[in-house]
Amino acid sequence: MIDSCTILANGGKVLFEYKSGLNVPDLINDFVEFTLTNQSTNAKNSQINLKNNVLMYRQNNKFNYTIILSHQNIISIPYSNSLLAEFDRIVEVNIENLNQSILSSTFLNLVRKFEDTDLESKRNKAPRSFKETDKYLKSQLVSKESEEKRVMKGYSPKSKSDAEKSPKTAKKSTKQARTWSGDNMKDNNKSIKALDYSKDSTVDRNDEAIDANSLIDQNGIGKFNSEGLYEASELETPLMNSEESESSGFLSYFQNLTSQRVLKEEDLAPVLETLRNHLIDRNVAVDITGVLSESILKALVGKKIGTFSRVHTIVSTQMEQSIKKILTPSTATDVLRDINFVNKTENRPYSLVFVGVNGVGKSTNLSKVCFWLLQNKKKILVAACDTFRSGAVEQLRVHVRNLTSLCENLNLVGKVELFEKGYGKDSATIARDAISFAKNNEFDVVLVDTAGRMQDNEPLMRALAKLVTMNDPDKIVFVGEALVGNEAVDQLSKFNRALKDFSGLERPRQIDGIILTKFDTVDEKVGAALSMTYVTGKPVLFVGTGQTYTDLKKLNIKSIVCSLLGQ
Amino acid sequence: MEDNFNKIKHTFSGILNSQYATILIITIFILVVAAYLFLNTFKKYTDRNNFLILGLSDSGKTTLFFKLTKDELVKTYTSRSENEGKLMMKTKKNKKKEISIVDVPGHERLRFRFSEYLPITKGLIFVIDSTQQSQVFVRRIAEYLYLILVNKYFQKFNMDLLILCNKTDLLLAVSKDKIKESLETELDHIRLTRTANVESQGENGEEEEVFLGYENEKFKFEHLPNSIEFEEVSVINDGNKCNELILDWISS
Repeated sequence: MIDSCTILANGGKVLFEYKSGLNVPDLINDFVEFTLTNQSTNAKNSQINLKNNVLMYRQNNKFNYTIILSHQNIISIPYSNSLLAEFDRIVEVNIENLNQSILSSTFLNLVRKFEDTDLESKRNKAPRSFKETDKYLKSQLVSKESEEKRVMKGYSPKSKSDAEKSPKTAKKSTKQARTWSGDNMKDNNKSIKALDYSKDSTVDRNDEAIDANSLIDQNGIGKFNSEGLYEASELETPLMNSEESESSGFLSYFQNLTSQRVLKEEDLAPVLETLRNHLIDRNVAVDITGVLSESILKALVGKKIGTFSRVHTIVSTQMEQSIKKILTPSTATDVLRDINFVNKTENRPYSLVFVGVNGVGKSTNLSKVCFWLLQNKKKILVAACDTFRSGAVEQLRVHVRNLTSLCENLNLVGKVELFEKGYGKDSATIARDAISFAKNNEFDVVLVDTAGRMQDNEPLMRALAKLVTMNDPDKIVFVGEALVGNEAVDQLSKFNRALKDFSGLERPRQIDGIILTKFDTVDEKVGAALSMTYVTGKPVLFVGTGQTYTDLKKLNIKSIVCSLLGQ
Repeated sequence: MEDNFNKIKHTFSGILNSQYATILIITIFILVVAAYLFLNTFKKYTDRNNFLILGLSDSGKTTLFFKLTKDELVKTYTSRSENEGKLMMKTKKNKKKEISIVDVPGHERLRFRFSEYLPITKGLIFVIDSTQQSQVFVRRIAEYLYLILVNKYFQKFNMDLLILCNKTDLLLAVSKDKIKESLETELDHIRLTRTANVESQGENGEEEEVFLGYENEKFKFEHLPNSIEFEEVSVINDGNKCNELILDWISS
């Protein structure tokens, strides 16, 4: 059933590998690639689908390794989670000397054991008795609750008088009160001792028997056990705490200080919460902060930390690393190199399509990019594919005129021309004509300006998908405002989905890069940069920082991290 | 830890009760720790004896790392975190010297971490898969290499760079001279496009990228002030030859 099991150290070394057959596909490299590039994998879900296989994994932060199980996705293995947990426990104990053969036999035994119990449970599938069902438990709870209400709040005068009359019900009522209010129990040391069955001290119980209240207490205990609803462990935890606090203050403090601590979820949660709020303050989309903090929680729980390290510093360095990881592009962002490459090897113009919602600055930033390319001696054709908004073509014409005169003033070799077909035409056809025109007239770059559209407007999104499918541009650039907050996620994911759904291609195009505009208006609230790169996994190619042609900059990851995490 | 403290607790419980002793112990403890930490950091930054193993994913960095430090061949997959290890070696005067070696993951998303090690690094080993020499791969290699070459620490400390062309045992392996040539051509393109790129937002011109080599001349590795060597190896098949080669390079 299970095809393979791999224990992989985070450094890349294989600690243990088991394969059920020779033709089991090797998916571990794909798995690592997937976990590294897909930030959006749900932190809670430790299962991914790859190439018709399901990979289950469990990360051990204490010893920095991951256990990965794989099986074909047509079968389902109900016990895989518990198997992983059990195997992880075994591996953790024997981490010092892992023996391949012993480990593989333990693994196989474990699998057999789980398979057997699974089969057994399937075979013995009989209808449950009423006492086992949830319904029974619920009915018990409800009846108890109502009873408690009556007793605690004096809801019914009748029951009160009953309690006065008969000692039996009086006992019951006091017992009820203690059972149901957990807080009371902690304060009252006496009753805790009375409830403490874990110690099994007969002496105590004898003492209690002399006590006047003993009868009631013991009844309480009896009731607990016979009901079987409450586990002993729940009662034990507060007792242990009270014991600990008794030990000498100074030494225990010292001990806490010197011994290595293991990070727990409770330690991390408050720190993460403040950090998360801080990020939301910096305009990072709320969902993304949630996923981020969850992934950090997952990466840190169980980690041993040194004596003097503060939880806060550990969490913030981890956060810094995560943010850097997201912002670092996984593909090269050297557009100029791409252009040279395409021009030389394929002898055709390089095409960039600018897409985005209304009023984010598509045309403005197109002209900025155009100026930068002109400085690099390129011949550029600007295609006016916004055939919808009045004045769009004229706007581009003014830009082209300005740039041409700039070129003459600065003695630049580059050249820029406008390609337009007026208003009301199909933008996809204009783009196609522009590209073929550019090819015939030996232009280096075609910049395609599209009409702004809201991400929910289906007919317009269809038109965009058509434009992309028809022309297959080298880069689809999404232009987005830095001012945008939670909306960034929605815009980008819907643009990507539209490109995918309406293209009709087997391998649809997606957004290749982002231009972040109006960046000069946000100060330290640069969260949009993080949100956008997170959603698409694509780099920010440029940031627009002003009104003039030279206000186009490269994103500086260091300064983004500083503004996100700084005070 | 716990046992120790229990012992101390039993034997010195009387003394410990007096406040004077408590304060004394705390002061001594803090002093010792402070001295230790100070010495440690001081040591770290004075003698740079760290060597980095860099390169693209799947070029054989982790295999080389375990070969060097533990002298064993291990099966590896893509790394997600650094491997750090120590290596004892003899210097020319027959003195023993301990150096540390760090294997940095080659995945694009984790690559930035190499720059965090550079302030304490003496030399770099850049591993290349000799069989992957299509134009796409040469571009990716050159892009990584460019990042290293323009790094300010790399230039400031005049670090040595050893470029290991790995996997020569395979049939499709390209010779080191060919690799060098194609890398030089690619770096020639990259340095032009990178210096022509728009400037970075934020700090204004503080970290200006330097033009590599001589302008108006085709890029050559010899133009750089750093010593850059090319070697052919096969980490898996060469036996001890590979280790010796690297140790020789390190000691020189």
